[in-house]
Amino acid sequence: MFSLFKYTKGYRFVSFITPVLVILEVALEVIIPTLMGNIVNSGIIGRDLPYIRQQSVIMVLCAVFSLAFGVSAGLTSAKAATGFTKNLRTAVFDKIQLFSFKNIDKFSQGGLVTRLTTDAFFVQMAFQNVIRIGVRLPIMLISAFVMSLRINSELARVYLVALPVLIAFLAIIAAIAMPRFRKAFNQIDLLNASTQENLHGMKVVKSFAREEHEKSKFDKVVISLYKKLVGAEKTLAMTNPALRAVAGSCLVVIALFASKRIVYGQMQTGHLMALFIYNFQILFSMMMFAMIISIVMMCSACYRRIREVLDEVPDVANCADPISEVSNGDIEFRNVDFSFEGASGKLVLRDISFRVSSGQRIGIIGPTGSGKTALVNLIARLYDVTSGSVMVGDADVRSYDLKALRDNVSVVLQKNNLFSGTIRSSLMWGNADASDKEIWDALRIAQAADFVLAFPDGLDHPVYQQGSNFSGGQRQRLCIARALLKNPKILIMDDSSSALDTATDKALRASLRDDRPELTKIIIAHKVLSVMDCDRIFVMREGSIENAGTHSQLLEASEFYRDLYESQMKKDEVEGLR
Amino acid sequence: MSRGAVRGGHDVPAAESANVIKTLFKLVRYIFSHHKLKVMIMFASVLVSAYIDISLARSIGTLIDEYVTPLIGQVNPDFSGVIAYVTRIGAMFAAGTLSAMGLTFLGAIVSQRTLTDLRKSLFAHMQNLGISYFDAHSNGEIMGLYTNDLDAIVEVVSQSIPQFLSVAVTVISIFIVMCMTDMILTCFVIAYVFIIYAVASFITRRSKVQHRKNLEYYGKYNGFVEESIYSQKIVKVFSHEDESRRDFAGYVENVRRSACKAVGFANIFMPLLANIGNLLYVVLVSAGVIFMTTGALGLTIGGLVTFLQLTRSFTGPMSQISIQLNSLVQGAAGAERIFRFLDMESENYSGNTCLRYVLKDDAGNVVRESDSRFEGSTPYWKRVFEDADPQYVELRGDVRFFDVSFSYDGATDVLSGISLYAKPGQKIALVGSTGAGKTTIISLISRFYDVSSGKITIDGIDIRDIRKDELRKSIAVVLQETHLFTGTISENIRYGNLNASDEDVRTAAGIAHADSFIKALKDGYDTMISGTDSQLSEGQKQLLNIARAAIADPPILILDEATSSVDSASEKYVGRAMDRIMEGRTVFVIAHRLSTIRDASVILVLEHGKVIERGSHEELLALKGRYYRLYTGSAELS
Repeated sequence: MFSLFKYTKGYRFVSFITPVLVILEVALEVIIPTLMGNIVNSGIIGRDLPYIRQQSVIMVLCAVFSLAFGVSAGLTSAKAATGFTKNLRTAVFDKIQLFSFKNIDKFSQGGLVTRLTTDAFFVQMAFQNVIRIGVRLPIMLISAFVMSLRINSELARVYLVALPVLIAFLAIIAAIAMPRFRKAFNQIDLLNASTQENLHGMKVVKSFAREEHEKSKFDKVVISLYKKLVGAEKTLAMTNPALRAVAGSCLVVIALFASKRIVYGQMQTGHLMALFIYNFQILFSMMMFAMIISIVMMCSACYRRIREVLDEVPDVANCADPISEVSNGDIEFRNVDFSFEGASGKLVLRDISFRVSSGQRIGIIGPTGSGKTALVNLIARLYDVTSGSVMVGDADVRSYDLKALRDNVSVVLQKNNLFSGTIRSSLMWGNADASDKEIWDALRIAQAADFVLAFPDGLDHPVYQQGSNFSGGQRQRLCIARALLKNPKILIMDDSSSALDTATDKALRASLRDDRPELTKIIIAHKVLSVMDCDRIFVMREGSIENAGTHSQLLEASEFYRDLYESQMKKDEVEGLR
Repeated sequence: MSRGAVRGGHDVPAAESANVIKTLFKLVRYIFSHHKLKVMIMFASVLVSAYIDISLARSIGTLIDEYVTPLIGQVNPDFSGVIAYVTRIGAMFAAGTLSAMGLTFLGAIVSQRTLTDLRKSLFAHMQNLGISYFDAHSNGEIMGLYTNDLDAIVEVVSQSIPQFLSVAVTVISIFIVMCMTDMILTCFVIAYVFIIYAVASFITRRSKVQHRKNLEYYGKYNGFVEESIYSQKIVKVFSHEDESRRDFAGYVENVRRSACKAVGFANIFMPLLANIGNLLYVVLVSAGVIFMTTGALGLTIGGLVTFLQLTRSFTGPMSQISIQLNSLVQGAAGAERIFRFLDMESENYSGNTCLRYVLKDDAGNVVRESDSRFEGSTPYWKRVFEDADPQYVELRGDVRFFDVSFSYDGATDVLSGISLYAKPGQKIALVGSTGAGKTTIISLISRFYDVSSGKITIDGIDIRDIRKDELRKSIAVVLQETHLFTGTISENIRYGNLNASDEDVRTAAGIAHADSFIKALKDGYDTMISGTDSQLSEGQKQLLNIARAAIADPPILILDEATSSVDSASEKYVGRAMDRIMEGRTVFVIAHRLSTIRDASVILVLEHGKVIERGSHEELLALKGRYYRLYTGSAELS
């Protein structure tokens, strides 16, 4: 919890002044009832007008200051808590920016979003409660305690018994309720996730007429959730009666005790009333305090989740003295093994070695799960090799500055996305300084210029979230253009022209070859047609390169390749007409 | 405690105050009608607790004045009266404790029951809404009902309403006692109430504005975070981390600034109200002393002292009321959205025709009839008429469109004048650009929407006469977007036919060519998969979707871009699976890759909601029109 201190940066003053303001406010709040009592007892009953005037003025001053302190504390605590949350959120987001693909894979994306939104919000609630009410209550408690002891020190004995009893009550309630709540909240999360799933698959539900099935599935979970929640709530509902019972017992004892003192002249009548008020103040503070502790406990689960992200060590990072210049587009793999889970895990790539020189066109083909994507991801150092080394431009990828490397190795991912904005703003992701001419150039090579030209607003045409207002083929071409704008030395297209029709796909490959001859191109594809004109084609099976060669060589050497080619050609025989 | 208690209604925008009271009444009525006895006991407990709280304060005075003071100075004081009275106080306390216990206990039950009931109703109602509702509302919007709005309601039911009632009872009874004690001084109290009201409504108004602004910024922040996190890999590939950080800083600062104001307004509520109460006290003291010294109005010392005591117990609850009002308003906003959702008209499932599995004897008489499959049964449409015997029409899968037009908004036609027929076992392919109306046509067959004009028949029956759920049971759909549910693989396949045996599941998986990869998984058919992120590839998911359709074994099959997200290595298998499952069924297929539909009985080329070309593959190639251009790659579908 001490680690939290870091995130008050920039808001330190308000974070520390708030408790001070709260202490001052509470001090005045404690004094005010005494003043009220004085005015009645000595002033009005004693008919002492100057005293009333004096005390009233003091009381007005106290109220005004209490108001000022209270309002300031409210404002500073708001500033401190929201500032704290901002710092925490920024820290989490910055950390995620340092994550490698492996780190990203480890956390679910939904989980990361929750941490940045609701989890951070709960921590904010806890933070504010602690610096504001958490400071207030102990002071209320202590001052009320001291005041009643000043009236009669023997009273301490009552609380010596009562407080431990109440604490024990509250602790038992918390001990029973908390785990129940935690379980129930987990179940709510699951329930919401499955509701979302149902919502998402509504067409499937309706297509199979499974409305009733879904309802009964849902009802079952909801009823078990109800049992958990109502159990937890019932336990928690004991708090108020427990407090009342303890307060009542104290009051009875105090009343008997004080009555006797008053009769024997050891105490004034007014004191009994005061003791009565302090009694409630003490026990009420206790309960509020318990509530704050439970809020903090609930929120600490959120903070733990945030901590997981903050404590995660990014597993791909710059080395000490990184190279910032990639000299050329050569690629070399030397005995590369790779596993997602580290050295002990299952190998996804096994002893891969090959060399590609600048400007070559390499095709990669193979069934799902054969390691094609893993292989190309190593080139941009999206993952680190488990053993062996990957060289780009004759230096190990681990010796480059990450930004420099990735600026030169442009990957068009399989699951590609455009960011909301305009076509221009989406493309400038590739190069923030790109001129319109460069953008059009990239669009032309990516075979996207025609449809962008057809928009009346051209490059300023809007792009919705995830590029949802474009067809799959258009989206893929825009993503390729975006990758080209980086002016990379190596371009990797991971199944990123699958939605293009054959003619467009062919034109794309031709203009890449003619307009960017120096660019090393690596194309992962499922259609033989997309890779058959490459300089070299790798056939991947189960993590190794089973065969490599030109189209005609592979037709001879690789059964898999031949089968694939024949089955695709048979189906698409007319395409031979092109 | 609900999560709302922690969250503090942060995400609930304020409703217009005119509807607040109406909605709250509706909510109270809803709860009362479900839990009459409990609510009445709760109400009684509130009254008892409030009564006890008030009289306790007075009983201490009585104890001193009537039992303790007379004993002062006595040589041998008799404490039995004191003890008896203190015992009475203790008994009252015990009663108060019991009623508080009843209140919180019942409150927990009633609020959780209400939460459960509402949650069930929400979900049940959601299942029955038409697809058009989901077209018009985002998932996030609908999910908000289950999270924020329900939380807000629980908060209102379990906390705000009982507390509001309890303080209201206290405040009103004290006020009555005040009026009886001194009318003039009460006028000051009335003025105070107005001031409190003015201050509270001023702050509430301001904080509402800030709250709404905060929500708006929070929404933008949320949107940015989602887009950015879901595309984090692209950020890495483009080394866009610094730009992301910069953008993030802008969004997060806006949230901070607006949240700071909103929270600040909420925080100053209590000190403001409490200290206005303190000032009232001083005003009353001054006024009282002036009245007393001038001798006006016959105010006595005792009267003033009593009145001041009353004031102290009055101002505390008054501040409470204002704060409870605030959360009532927020809860009402949530309740209103939920009630509005529940009042949405649900899809009309009714019809005089349903799907029955029937066994007939040689004479054609129905021997056995059931709503699920059994040995030797054949599916029939059973038509029930008011004034005639039920009629049985064999389910064969003959689908016809008669001059069908359709419009989503009643203004622009998405489909116009579509006529087509698909004989049982035929394969009908739909080709056209995005927005040409392909998906709309198949949505009409399942009656996700109803035709605007014309009609669609299945086996000669207008589909509007068929119960919707029964109609959909005769059609299986495989969509481009593979959707699986969290559960085991066999549960997912069985979704197509809940009565299927393990053997059936295996057979269906076999038809879909999914058997081999399922067996290779660690737990085979019992492998748990989650809908969103599972270890399955797109192709494997699609095979499961096909198995799910295969197990349903319907006469009509709809394939909407079912192979476009499948990689080519799996495509071979998926394609084979498709071929097998299409055998002997009426099939409607939408495909981007034209090679997959060459063998269709009829291909319809659609443009702007009209059929522009129709015929077999060879006929359309010979036509040398749009289909020819698409097929040879000289034109492209967009």
